[in-house]
Amino acid sequence: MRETAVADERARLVSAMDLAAAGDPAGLRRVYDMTCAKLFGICLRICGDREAAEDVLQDVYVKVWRRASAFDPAKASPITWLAAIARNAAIDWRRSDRRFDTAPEGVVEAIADESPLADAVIEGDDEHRRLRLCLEGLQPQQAQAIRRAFLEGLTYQELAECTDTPLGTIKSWIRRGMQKLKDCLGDG
Amino acid sequence: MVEMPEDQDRDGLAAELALGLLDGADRAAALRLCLSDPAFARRVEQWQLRLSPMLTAVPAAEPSSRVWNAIAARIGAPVAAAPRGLRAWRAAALGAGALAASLALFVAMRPAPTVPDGSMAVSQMSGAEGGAIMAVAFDPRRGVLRFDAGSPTGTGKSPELWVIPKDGVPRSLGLIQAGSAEMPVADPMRPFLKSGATLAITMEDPATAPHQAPSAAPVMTGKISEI
Repeated sequence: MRETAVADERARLVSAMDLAAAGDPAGLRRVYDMTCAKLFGICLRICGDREAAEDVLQDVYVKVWRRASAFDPAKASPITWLAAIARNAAIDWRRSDRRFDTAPEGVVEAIADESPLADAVIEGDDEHRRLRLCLEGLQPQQAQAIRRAFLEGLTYQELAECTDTPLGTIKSWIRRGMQKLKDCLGDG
Repeated sequence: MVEMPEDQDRDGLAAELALGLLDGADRAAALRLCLSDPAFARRVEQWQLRLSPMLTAVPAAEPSSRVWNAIAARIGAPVAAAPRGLRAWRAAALGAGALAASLALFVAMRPAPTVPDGSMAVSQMSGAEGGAIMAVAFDPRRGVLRFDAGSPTGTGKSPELWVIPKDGVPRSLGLIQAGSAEMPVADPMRPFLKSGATLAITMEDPATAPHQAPSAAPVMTGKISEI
């Protein structure tokens, strides 16, 4: 039954995206209502600042509005696609200036233990389950470096500093980890 | 390892950009490559989509209402009340349509012997309470809709049939005449009878029909499928 509910939710989101792609603002509003809390959570985590995260969130939905017709449900689930746009926008914001001090301590510490995650389990998300299994198959340092880079928006330099690890070592963890991850996910 | 180390390098760079690890000149160079090399841009996007499911684990947070207002202003959407009635109606119609579409479609349609454009649109409409069911078929050869059951009735009101295509705007197909099993569809409306569109019936004042927009919640809705 839970899977049916997830599938229904996904179908509703896809149809709202279709409506937005056809140029109907009511479609975007529905997409917003269904996803803004999730996407705002992502912006907030990466920006580390509420006001900045709200500005970024605005840009995210304007992008979604412009690109809705490029969304292909055969390639990704709608929430995966939307989350990727939100994360990119937040990363763009972080990289747009030299903001060394943007990740507040509290945020970073809260994330450091990236154990999995009540609500992903509740969502029963296949894609996430598969990714998690593959990450668990990596060496712990590799997986941890990838997770922190992705979820906290850290650069190589920042990762090296906050883990007190030489830059070259971090790079090789990530490069090898990503290669293995790709093989494990087996999607080319 | 023997083959194409360059290719692996490219993919490594795409992964680094997707992860957001690059900064300064490295990031600028990788972003330029995205613009000049569509294959590289695709790799970056693939990496982003591969990793994005991790984001489902990030706790949600509620943004303030100023965010939607700003978005609405930027995309030219009505911020406030004007079409709210219509929006609510449309949400009800589309929502109910999705429900109806999840019922097994048991309508067995006779395929028309010679169909000019090869397809026939059908819809099984059901009432809001899920009780009433009516099958509807569109015969493109004759340009008529056929109903398998009597349409709903109401005191002093007549059933008006609407089609809601992908753009979400309801368009009146006219009143369904009492006791009639068929209804002609005007030429300009025929292209809207396509898979994925929603049909809805509202009870309206027959004296002023057809209407620009529905005045009441739909009593029946259903999605169109082409067979």
